[in-house]
Amino acid sequence: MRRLTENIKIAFRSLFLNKTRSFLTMLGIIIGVGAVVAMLSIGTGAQDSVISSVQDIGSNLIIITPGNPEEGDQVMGPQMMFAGDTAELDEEDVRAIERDAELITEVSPVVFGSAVVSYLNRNTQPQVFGSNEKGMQLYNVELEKGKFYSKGDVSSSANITVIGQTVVKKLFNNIEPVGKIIKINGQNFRVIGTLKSRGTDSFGNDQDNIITIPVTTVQTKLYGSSSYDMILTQSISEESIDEATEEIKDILRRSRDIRIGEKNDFSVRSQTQILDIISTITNIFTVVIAGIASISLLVGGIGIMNIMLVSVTERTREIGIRKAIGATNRDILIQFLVESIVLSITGGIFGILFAVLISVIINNFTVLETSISTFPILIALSFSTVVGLFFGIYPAMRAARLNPIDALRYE
Amino acid sequence: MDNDGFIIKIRKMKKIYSIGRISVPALKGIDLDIKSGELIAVMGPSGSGKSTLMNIIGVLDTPTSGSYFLDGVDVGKVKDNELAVIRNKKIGFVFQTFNLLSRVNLFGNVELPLIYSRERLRDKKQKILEAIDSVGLTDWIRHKPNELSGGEKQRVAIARALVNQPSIILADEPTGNLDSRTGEEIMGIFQRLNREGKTIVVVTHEMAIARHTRRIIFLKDGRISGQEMVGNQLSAEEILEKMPKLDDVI
Ligand SMILES: Nc1ncnc2c1ncn2[C@@H]1O[C@H](COP(=O)(O)OP(=O)(O)OP(=O)(O)O)[C@@H](O)[C@H]1O
Ligand SMILES: [Mg+2]
Repeated sequence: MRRLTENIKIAFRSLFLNKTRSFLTMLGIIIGVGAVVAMLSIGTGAQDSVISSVQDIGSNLIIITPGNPEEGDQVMGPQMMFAGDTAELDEEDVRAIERDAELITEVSPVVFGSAVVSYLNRNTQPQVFGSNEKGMQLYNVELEKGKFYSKGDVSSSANITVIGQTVVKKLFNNIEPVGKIIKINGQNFRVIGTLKSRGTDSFGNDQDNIITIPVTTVQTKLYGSSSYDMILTQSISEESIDEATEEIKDILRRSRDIRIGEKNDFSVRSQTQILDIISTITNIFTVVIAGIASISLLVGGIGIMNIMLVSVTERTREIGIRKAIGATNRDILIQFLVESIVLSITGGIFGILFAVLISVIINNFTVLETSISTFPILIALSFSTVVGLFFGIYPAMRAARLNPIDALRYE
Repeated sequence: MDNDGFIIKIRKMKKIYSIGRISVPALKGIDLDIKSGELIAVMGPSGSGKSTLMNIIGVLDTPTSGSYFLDGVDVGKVKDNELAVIRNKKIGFVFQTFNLLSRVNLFGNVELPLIYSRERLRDKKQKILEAIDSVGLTDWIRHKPNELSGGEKQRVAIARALVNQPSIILADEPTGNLDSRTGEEIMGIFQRLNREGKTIVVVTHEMAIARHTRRIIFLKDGRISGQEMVGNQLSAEEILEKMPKLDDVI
């Protein structure tokens, strides 16, 4: 133990004696570890916020969309969830689910769009979210003021709307919005409530720049279509979410007359499945990072091996002296091994500091959120230790095998 | 093993160096016995094999053939690791070129044998300070070797050789790089250590140095060509007293 601390002291001494050389040697490790920890912190940051915004949508949520990319080609990413354009979803489907499904609570059709909204001389262009009276509840959006539209409002296609905070700010600016008449694509709508702020999502989109309108009104008066972009529903419990998904598939196959052996022309996904897709994507990301990491650590390791070989040659006489005085081969081996490990761990620590710096910069100057966790740091440190050990062993063995007499003679 | 009071027993020892296809016989059959507590000089012309012999006695090197018993142990049968232990515990080596670690201060250099000592040492610091004190360098303890004179460096090397309390001290031309007064001082230290019971072998070119010992072995061409018991052994202390100091001359 005492000899180990002695070896660590020796290692740091020779590290400091050749500061520039040590730094250049460590550069490979610094960049490798730094890049990996920084990228992982960006990755986990993004993953965390994507997951939390998916979870924000509402618990036990099941999303039904038209088309079926999954059974054709593999799903590649979240953007594909809304792809596929063959069959449409309509009122029939909603009714079938409402009538037959037992494992779900609420159902709401949804239509997305955008519209020009104005009040007096101000105007803005928010997202339009058309749903029935359950839509907001399914989507986990809460009211700030006023009320939500009712079942009656939906069946009568009333010209009413509930607006998000960004729209409130842009149109009303200190005036009370509830009760006012605004124009949406040129038609009069009454504001009956406002939504609580939800901030931005993981992609930097403003989630408050939204207005919500009864889906029937959106279909008949704004866009003139009879189909839905998706149907939202909710399973009765977290445990039954997979069963509920299957139940909905069965109901829709029956109501849409899909024969046995034919593919679904719709997709049913639960929140858990969406999270699975996200984790598949982030796993690919992780593998790519691991690849970059191993290449840079390899390069860094070769640098360390090179400098350690130089160091062994330079210090041949020192090795001879130590051996003449009673150092065993093992003592010398450990001395040089400790030195290369100290070199690579120091590089690793600098790399981590470098990554923290990058991540702080990214956090403050971009929309991306980063989060540095202990896991990549531990991984980085243990990998740099392994690199030091692996690439240090050959030079250290060369040093250990030196014959004391020859080493003492070395000029 | 009975060693008859001989701490070093060498029989028919040969050492042949081979450089590529050329082989250089450095020792051609040496028989040598050294008693515990002896003070011996080895003399001989350059290339006669003095350093080769010393390196083998100090188990830094191994003979090509023949036997070497050190303190009753057949060194030829000892493994590498244990040779390191013997070098550490039983032998203190002093080189002509000092061989100090230049990056380490005086204390660190003297500490070195204790770092590699396999025994648990309590009073380690005390031992180092004593060794440094015994060569009179206490004031220089935090200095690095390049801040010292040749004679001081050699005294550091002696302190290092002493610190682990070995029974044998081997010095290969310890005064070769020093002026006669400093050389005399070094021999004074060896004579004192010898009185304290250490076995000491000194290689030298100078008869004046050799006459400080009790027995002189003459090497020539890889063989012992003769030996001489020193009649009136010189005392370094007395010589130093008589020697004019540099201050007096100027
Ligand atoms: N490592 C070696 N490889 C090859 N030959 C060597 C080696 N060491 C010594 N020799 C040869 O062995 C012979 C004896 O060398 P050694 O160094 O023992 O002489 P020495 O008596 O110490 O001489 P000096 O007084 O000059 O120090 C010489 O001929 C030398 O060239
Ligand atoms: Mg010699």
